[in-house]
Amino acid sequence: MPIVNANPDLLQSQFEWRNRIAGWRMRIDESAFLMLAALGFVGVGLWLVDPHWSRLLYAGAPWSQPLPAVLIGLGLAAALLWRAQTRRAGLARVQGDDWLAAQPIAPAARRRARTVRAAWTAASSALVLLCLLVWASARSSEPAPLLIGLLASAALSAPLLIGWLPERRQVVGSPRRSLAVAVAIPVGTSGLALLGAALEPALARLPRGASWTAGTFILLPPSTPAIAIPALMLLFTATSMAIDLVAHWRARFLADQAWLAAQPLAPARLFAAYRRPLLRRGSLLVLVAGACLHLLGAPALFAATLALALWLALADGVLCGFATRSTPNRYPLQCMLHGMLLLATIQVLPPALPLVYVACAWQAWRRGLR
Amino acid sequence: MSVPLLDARALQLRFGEHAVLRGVDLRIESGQLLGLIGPNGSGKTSLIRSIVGLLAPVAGTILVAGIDLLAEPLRARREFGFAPDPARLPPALTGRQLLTVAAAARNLPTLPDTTLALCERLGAAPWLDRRVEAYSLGTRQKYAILAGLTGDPPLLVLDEVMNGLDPISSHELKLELTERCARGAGVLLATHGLEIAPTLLTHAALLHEGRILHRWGSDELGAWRHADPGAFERAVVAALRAELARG
Repeated sequence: MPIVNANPDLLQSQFEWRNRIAGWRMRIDESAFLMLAALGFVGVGLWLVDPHWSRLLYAGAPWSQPLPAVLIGLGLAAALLWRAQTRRAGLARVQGDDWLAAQPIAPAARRRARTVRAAWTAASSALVLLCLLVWASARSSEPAPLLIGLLASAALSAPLLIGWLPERRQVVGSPRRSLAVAVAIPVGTSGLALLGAALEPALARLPRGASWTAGTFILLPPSTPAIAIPALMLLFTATSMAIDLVAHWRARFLADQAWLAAQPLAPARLFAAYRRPLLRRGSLLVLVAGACLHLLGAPALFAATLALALWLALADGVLCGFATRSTPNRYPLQCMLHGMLLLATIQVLPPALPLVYVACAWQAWRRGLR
Repeated sequence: MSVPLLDARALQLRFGEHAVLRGVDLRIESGQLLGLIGPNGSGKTSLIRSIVGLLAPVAGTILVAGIDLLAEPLRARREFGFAPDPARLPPALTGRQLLTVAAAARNLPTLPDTTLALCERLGAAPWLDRRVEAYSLGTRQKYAILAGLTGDPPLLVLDEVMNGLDPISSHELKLELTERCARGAGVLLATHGLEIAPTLLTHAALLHEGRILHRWGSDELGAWRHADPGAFERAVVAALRAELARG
């Protein structure tokens, strides 16, 4: 069979996509469920934001005036381009040491491949943004055409301009090895607790997504006091860190489980090794989120309820990770299933929510023990 | 006089303050199968990665078939094949796709029949249409070797490729390497398998703490070939112990 795509990196991407689609087709029922569940979540999200479109895109709003609108458009374009550029730099780092690194491939061909891949990623983000804009302007009573046009142009800027931007300089083949990060484990920590303690320093990192939360100030009405902006940013940061915490724990848990698989160690004991750092860090982040909500004007009881809901969602994420420890690919499916069940309960029979939550958690725990 | 397939001179490599290679000279002529042996941490993998251009030495020159690797990496890379680390193979590709990408990297119009024939010989053919993520260590190793040998490059650079191979595929690989050397190729093989050295290698070099401690030519290795099994291993261990005793 002749080789059609002469660029090895793009050929590899093409094969990977083909295999991914074949995998989806092979598990058609699971793929369909995941797609429907994702659509369901998008639908709920849109339904929650729907009442605000008219205010956000209102032609008479201060940010719809030419100068602020241009600034918002430029800011969004810069952010999207920076994101595409970061993606391309990440690909360059990977290419510097991957299995094709020592093959006779022209640097220009590798550069082209990463630019194309970064442009595709940017194009998919642009497509989502454009769909959202079309939806929002259709649902808005008096949309500002200038603002919408600028936002749409900004969305399209990254995939179109990334090829023109020079790449960040990469030192390929640098003899410098990545240094091991110092792990500050408290003195006296021993046994399995070391696994949990080693989790802590990595959790201290601020997730990259946190900086994006700065853009959320546009959700605020013009009369909002200035204090609300840092509070909102802190709220989003704490929430994204909480999600990052579960993702990081899961990666560590699966890796540790793999190398300890042949040891006479009960799954519950390994799980317990991470309990303290998870509880401590998770509770702290949830407390911060609750306090921010209160600062933003939510009554104390309401803020506490939302914080508790976030804490329970995190706990459910962890339990789903434990339940799918031997089939990690099923993790998104398990989370979505729980999410759908809980959302349906809220809609149909809210008083049964605690019972359904406990049943989900118990089932996940039992599955993890198997 | 023909140009050597590999001519590395006075190679020095540092990781921060730590000197990994301290002036290594290595030369491979056509038809030679040079074994690079040495204890763990002696710098074998770093030397191999420098030779294929994955690590930049702080001093020294690397000529591949007379082409300066540091000045013209693309031209130099066309002259050698390198078997990548099996752990770095893309898990989502099938074996056939992996080899097709390796062929594309060498600008070949199709996946060569010689690669598929070798795949058969190594017992890897049943895995051609399964994904790499489902492979055992040995099968991954076979596909890494196949990727390195695709396109019949004149110089082969192989790092611990015997690890994980079953007896038949290990035997077939040795035959393949010997045949390629007979046809004029050169091989640099880093290995811990000292028992194969006298029978497989034409030359050997012992690397210790970033320096070549000892070299064996074809005549010396030929002599070991007729000695009792394990004699070469004892000689290497004795050389290393003597070096350790010197401090």
